[in-house]
Amino acid sequence: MTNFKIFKYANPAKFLHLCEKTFIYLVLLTIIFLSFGLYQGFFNSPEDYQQGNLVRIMYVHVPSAWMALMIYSSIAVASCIYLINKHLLANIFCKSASLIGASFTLIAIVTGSIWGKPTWGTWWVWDARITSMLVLFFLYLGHMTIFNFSENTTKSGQAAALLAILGFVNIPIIKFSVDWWNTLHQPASVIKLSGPTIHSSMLTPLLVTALGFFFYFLIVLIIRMRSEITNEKINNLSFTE
Amino acid sequence: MMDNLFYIISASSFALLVMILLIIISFTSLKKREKIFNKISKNRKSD
Repeated sequence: MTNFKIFKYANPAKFLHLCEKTFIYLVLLTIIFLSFGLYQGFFNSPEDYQQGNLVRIMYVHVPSAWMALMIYSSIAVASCIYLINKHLLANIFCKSASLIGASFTLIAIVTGSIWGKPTWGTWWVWDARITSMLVLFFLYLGHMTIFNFSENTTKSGQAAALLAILGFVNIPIIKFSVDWWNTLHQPASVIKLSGPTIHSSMLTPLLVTALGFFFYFLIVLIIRMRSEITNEKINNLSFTE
Repeated sequence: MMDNLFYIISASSFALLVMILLIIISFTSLKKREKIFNKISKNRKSD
């Protein structure tokens, strides 16, 4: 396990050094990908034959939902690493990524609701996909609450890691809910075994925006992880006084 | 058409607002903690 090169950066000092070097490139990549993807999505991509211009909400809704699932999955993996290897940085990652994941989940739920009103005729429906996304939002809130509940980072980190791992069961439920149950939400049209069923003129801006969202996530993650590392330093200094 | 535009603008502005707020909150928190850390380390050096 320790032979993996990635664990070289499990040292906070090395990690911060890497962040300093890459931060500006991430900012540039975010600006380029988000502006190009959103411009293409909102102004250059074609209208949907049924929904018309409303389909453009997809360019913020779908990448947010993907990010919400991806961040939770990465938190679950980092939680396993933290419980097994006790890497401090894995715990800091979980603590930092939680709010970002919750924000993306909120964006996915709210933009989905706004999209639902004109297309389904209702803001909300207790549909399997939407309800499981709401459960994900509550899992994120619970995860953050556990971290803020105790000053003891180790104990709160272990409890939060357990919740993250147990809550991971919700991720395949969200993904396959549209296949397992009859839902108002449309079935998957991009991430599916038989390949995407969406036209490339819509798929390209969608993927570019999703990459922009991913780089944005990395920027906020670095800022939050730096903040948490500084907080750990403050705690250590106060403890030794 | 105008109705659709309202929904599109509402959804995208909400997403943008949350993303901007998140980056501001995170950055403010970092700066606040760095300030406290620098203050403590300065005090320790002077001691």
